[in-house]
Amino acid sequence: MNTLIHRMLPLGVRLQLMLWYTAIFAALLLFTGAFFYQHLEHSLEASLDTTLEVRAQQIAGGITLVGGMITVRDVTGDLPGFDANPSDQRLSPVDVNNGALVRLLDARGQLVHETPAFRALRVPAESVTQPRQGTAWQGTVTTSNGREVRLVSRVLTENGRLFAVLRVGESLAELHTLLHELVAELLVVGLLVLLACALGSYWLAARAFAPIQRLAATARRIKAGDLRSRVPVPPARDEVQYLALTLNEMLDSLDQAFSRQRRFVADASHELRTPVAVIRSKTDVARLWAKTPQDYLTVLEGVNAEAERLGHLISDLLALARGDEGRTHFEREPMRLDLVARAVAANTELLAAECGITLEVQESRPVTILGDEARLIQVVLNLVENAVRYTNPGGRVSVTVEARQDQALLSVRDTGIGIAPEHLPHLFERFYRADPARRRTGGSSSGLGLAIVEWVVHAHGGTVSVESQLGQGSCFTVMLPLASLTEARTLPLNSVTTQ
Amino acid sequence: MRLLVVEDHPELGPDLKKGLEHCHYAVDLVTDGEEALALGETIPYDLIILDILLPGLDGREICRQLREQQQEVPILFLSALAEVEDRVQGLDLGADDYLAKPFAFRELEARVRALLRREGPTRSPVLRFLDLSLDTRTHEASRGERVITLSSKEYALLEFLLRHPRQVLSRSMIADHVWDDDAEHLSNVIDVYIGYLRTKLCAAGEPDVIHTIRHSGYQLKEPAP
Repeated sequence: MNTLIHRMLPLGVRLQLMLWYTAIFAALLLFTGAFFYQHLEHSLEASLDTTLEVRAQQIAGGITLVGGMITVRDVTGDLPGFDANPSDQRLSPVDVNNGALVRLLDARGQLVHETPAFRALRVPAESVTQPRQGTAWQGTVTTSNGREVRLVSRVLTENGRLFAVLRVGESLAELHTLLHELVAELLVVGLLVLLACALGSYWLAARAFAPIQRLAATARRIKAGDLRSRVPVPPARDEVQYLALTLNEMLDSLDQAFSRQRRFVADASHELRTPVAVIRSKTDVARLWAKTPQDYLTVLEGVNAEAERLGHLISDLLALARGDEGRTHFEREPMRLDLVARAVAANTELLAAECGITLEVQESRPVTILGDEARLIQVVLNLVENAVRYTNPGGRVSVTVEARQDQALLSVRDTGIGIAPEHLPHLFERFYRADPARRRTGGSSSGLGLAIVEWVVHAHGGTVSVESQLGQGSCFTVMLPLASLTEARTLPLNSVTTQ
Repeated sequence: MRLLVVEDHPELGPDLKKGLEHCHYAVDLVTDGEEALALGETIPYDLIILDILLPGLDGREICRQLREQQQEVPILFLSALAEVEDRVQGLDLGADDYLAKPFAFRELEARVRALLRREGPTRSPVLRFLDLSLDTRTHEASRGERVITLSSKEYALLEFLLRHPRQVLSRSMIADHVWDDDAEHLSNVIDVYIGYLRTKLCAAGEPDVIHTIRHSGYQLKEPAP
């Protein structure tokens, strides 16, 4: 039901707040009104009872028992027809609202006197029996035409002996009129108050949302190209300040992401342009100077090498772009990290030998992890090729795989040129080169190798770190979660273990 | 062997991909006709499995356009349209086979094997080179009497080599036929997998039949004397 209303009426926050305020206020108003009405009704009835008591006392003052006969003197002078004989038929009943209501009964309960207005009343029996037993009686009776009358019964005694019962009544019509008027006035005033409350809360809500409106207007002015500007932060520590701070934090991270992206695109286009420029210059020169087939062959080989570089770069870019989009699927199959390290080393041995570098793999026990074998081969390849690339002839590159508690640890240590401390934090950034001048153009390095290493290792729930000293060499360490015993046991028969 | 599966059914498509990958094929799955045509034009697939009713572009239209561009890739229609008229029309558009839905996966598997055989040097389901043999039905490899257990990628690599004996295969050719779209860029990893395969094939001291051709790629060839 609630949701239905919500769907039918898409109320704004301001209107909702206003409705809530008004509803709560109306409920409070109703509650206090009802309480005061009840209280007033009670106190009015109580004061009426007092009045009736007083009157009964006054009338009783005029009633005496003289020689067994009840004689009545009109003390108050407002009891016309009271002293008439009750059997006098000429006295017709008068409306209870007009004239006093007094009735006098003798000790046996026989009617002695009554005012004409009393004749229209039917009075319950306990109004006589109860006073005769000594307790006073007061109550409300309803006439045949629906009017309510308040009655008080009181006994008259002479020397401690009951000789008469006196009843005095008063119509409640006046009291009711008063109360009805009060209700009508309360309703009118209440409605006016509610209206004022609605208007006031609407205005208050508008005032409360004004800072947010201003914030939104500022935020709207900030366009995608203008991520430097920030929304103003209000001094008061409240929700609006929190909102402004959150917006600014969001703008900060957007700004950072945008500038990273801009730098990445700039770097990528630079890296892509270089091999293309090399190819163009080679072919341009060949068209002008090349004479013999040998000349052309040299140019073709150069072009081929550059094309290969370009191909690698494009593949790496594609891999990272897909990774950024989260579109990459990683296998989770049991695999032996130690065998991967050995296979990669065997594969890179030729390159290392050409560079005069010793490449060795420390013997280790089987280390099984769950992962995407092809991508982890690439991780190890990138690390080992990197180490070989940045190590001078005569140096040494060693690969170690071991299990430490629940982690598989792979480290690639070289005796290379090392990395200056200020470059270490940026080493895994895309296209970051610690020292562009010392780059060997012969390799197929794309500048993305370490970025890919970090991406793949993180995707496997692992970490990669680097320690380095200039001139001493570097050590890259990859930590990956070990496969649990049960997972390792599910190693399929056709895996690489059966070498 | 690399397959393109064009199937827009949200469950059948992934099931087909999974099933065929289990048979050691590299499988790209697309659900949209336009994308299927674009991929079919640019990637040298070994086989295309094509649904007919597709969003974007009709399967028949894809087949017609590929054949118009002289693309010789085998095409297998996999469709719920099972009338004789539909099958005739599909085959006459240049498709190589037509399988009506519902179908048994084993039959699809066998038809895929049959279509792949047509392209290769032998019509036998068992690929052989010297003492090396690979049964494409049971996925068993052996050298002489020795049975060799292979991982999925090693199997795919060996199958591709055996289907192109004595040809020099570049890394990018191997990557195109052995890796699916997801892992396409991993061509530098091929060297490591060739290393794995070589180790397994020569584990009992047999001569090496996978030759590295420097700067070009690999070649399945009789061992050097």
